[in-house]
Amino acid sequence: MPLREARFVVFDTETTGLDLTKNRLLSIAGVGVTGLEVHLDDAFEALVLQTDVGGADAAVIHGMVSSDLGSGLPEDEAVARFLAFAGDSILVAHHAAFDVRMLRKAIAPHRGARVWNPTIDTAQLAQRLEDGAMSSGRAEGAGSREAYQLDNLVARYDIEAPERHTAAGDALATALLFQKLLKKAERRGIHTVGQLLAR
Amino acid sequence: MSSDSMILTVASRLGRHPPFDRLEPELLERVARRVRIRYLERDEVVFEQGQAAKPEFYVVIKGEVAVSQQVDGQTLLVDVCDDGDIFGVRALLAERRYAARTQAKDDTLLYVLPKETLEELMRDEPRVAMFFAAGFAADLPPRLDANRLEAVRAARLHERANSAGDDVRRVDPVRDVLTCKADTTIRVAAQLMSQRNVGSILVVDDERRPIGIVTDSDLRKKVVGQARDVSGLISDIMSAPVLTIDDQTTVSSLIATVMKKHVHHFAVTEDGTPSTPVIGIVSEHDILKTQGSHPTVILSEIGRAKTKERLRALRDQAEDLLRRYLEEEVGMGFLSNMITEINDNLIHRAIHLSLQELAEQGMKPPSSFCWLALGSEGREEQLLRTDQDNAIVYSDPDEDEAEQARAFFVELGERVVDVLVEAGFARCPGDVMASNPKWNQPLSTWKRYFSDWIREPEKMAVMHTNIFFDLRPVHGDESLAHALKEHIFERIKTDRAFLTFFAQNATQNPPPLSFFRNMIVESSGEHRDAFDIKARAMMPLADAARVLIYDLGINIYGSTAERWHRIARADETLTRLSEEAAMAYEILMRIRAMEGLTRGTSGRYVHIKELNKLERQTLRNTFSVVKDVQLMLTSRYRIDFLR
Repeated sequence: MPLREARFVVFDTETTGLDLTKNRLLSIAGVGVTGLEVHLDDAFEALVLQTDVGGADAAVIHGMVSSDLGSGLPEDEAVARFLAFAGDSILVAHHAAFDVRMLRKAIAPHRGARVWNPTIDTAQLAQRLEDGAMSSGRAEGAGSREAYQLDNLVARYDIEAPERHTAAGDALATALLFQKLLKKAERRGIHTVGQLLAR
Repeated sequence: MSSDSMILTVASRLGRHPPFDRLEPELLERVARRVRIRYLERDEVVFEQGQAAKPEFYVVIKGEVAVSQQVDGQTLLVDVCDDGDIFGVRALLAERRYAARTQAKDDTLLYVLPKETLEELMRDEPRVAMFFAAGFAADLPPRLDANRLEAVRAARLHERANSAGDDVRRVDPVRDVLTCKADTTIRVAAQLMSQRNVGSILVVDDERRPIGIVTDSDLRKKVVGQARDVSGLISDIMSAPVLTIDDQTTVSSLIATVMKKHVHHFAVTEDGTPSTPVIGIVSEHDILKTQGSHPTVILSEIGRAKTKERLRALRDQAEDLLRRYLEEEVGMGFLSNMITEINDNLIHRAIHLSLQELAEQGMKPPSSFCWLALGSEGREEQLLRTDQDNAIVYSDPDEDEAEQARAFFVELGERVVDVLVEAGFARCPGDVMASNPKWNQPLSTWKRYFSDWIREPEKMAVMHTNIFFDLRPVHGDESLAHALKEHIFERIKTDRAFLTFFAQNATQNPPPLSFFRNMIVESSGEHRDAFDIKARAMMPLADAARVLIYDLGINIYGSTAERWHRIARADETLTRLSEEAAMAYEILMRIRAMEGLTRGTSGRYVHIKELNKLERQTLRNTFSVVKDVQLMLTSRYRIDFLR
């Protein structure tokens, strides 16, 4: 499928921390990118109801107030709704592996519920496009890894991202980054989703 | 669940720019929900010249978009859109092809909004409708005209109601009014006033009906000043009767009363008469506080001014008021009426004072006369105190009194012109003023002047005497002005060639092609930084309207905008263009007045780089109207044949 015809859903999850086994989902936000444009009329945002959250550091990172944690949807329901919103589109996230694992964990108790969607990691994509057409996209060394943190990419690609560190703010920043990367990919001769997903 | 924080981020980004900065948060959010974000790499094209309009328009969020036009095989850069600029609207509203190519000059981020959003905003938001309608008037299709004008009218009414609508504003009395009985001692009443920290106390009877009032100035004058015993009764020092009103009284009618009767307080009673109980009180201070300076107040003060200095101070006040109203975007029709009313009254007063001085020397007008305003003053559009252009016409005296009449009216002309100079209206550099004997003549001479100009228009053009054709009676015997005007119409009827010269005059100065940033783009490709708004945009429209009203026999004294409205009604083939010309002219007047007030100049040379984006865009859009008007004159009067 041509890049310009596909629907990508760029998303971000916000969690109580970065440890998959201990931490819980706080919110999910996603926005559609179709025809290389970010569509605000195709956006999703859900807060997750968490009653037993201990990680005070999350509140610091995400600037969340405790009252936010008391409202929202049950975790599995929030993820199920997000997956319904995403449909069969390609999921895109920064360090996507982590976010996808958070989604999988949330719906794990439900038999047969899976995340089937193809996924794209904007960190890997950026590195691949910057390093050369056929780079594997594997992170090489700590310095390089840091260069592909969302903060650094946002600065390097001159993206306005006023509401960082919320799921919605990061999803929007990632979408704007992804949009630029898609243009870059086209210039590298990548015109189809297949080419984009190919390793 | 909705995606609120993402939408809010986009809404706040969009809300930095006009017209979105004027939207209520709720509506802004609704607009933000429709945004598509597009990223353009350098040199990427948004649309091509000649391409059919897409059902969307664009806001530049970051970066730059070059707008270029193919003219005679050459590519001409006509504009550069940067942060907050909107493009793609004109073709969209006109449902026609794009008139230019748009291309990213640099990496650029656009917010793309659907056509429906534009339509919704124009329908529901008068202020936004005004933004788009005024800015893009030149490109609207006839189908939308009615809606557009309706929206603009609604916007003006709205503005008027908010900014200048004292005609309907009711008084807002102080309800918690301090009262006392007639047998209260002065000491007790004064204590009550000081406890409550109020400046007045109403004296009432047993049924709380007002019988008098005591103010702190009464206490000062009658008690302290006359060393009166404070154990005396309050009724001894009260002013009676008290003027009573009801709470439906309008502010404007009160201002008139305050001015006429020098009263400072009104008791508000149940039915507005002294025979019902008091429910409140309104002071002059309360009224003026809500008004600030007010045109009615200024007008009435002008009528009482005794000195030139006072007239100047009042005209200065009017200018402050003008500045405030311009900033509040009060309708131009209202503003020019207001200032014309003030200017005319100032002239009345100047003439009155001068006649008084002459009378003291035993000189009286030997015959009836009429003071004529010419040029922009004649067209009722002299917002700023630019040069005077005036004249006197008087009824033909008997031969033996001719010299005496001549001497008297020149003397009068000189005195009035001097007063006007003192009030801040500079002398006309071309000496077209009533102090010049040449322009201070009996009716028969004036008729001869016009006959000559109409017979030999070449001379007229050289002398710039076309401003005489805007004559308007301001003071005195208006029938003299009417007679002169009738004469002009008759002469023109028999000498149509004159109109062609008149029309040619109106096409001498073509508008610039466009401008971007702080440069004007001339069709020669030349660039300049200051723009002669008078010669290049306003005069062509004023000249054209003058030709057409004389051609169509529309005998009115009125502004250029009013003239265009009348032309629109008189000739169907000109309706659309005329309505656009009227609107364009008012926009130009506003821009010129702002420039003039900001820089303390006549506003004639507009500095492009000091205009905001909206003003720049709006000004640029008037150029196509000026150009269309000139094309229309050229074909209507076959001017090309003369060249």
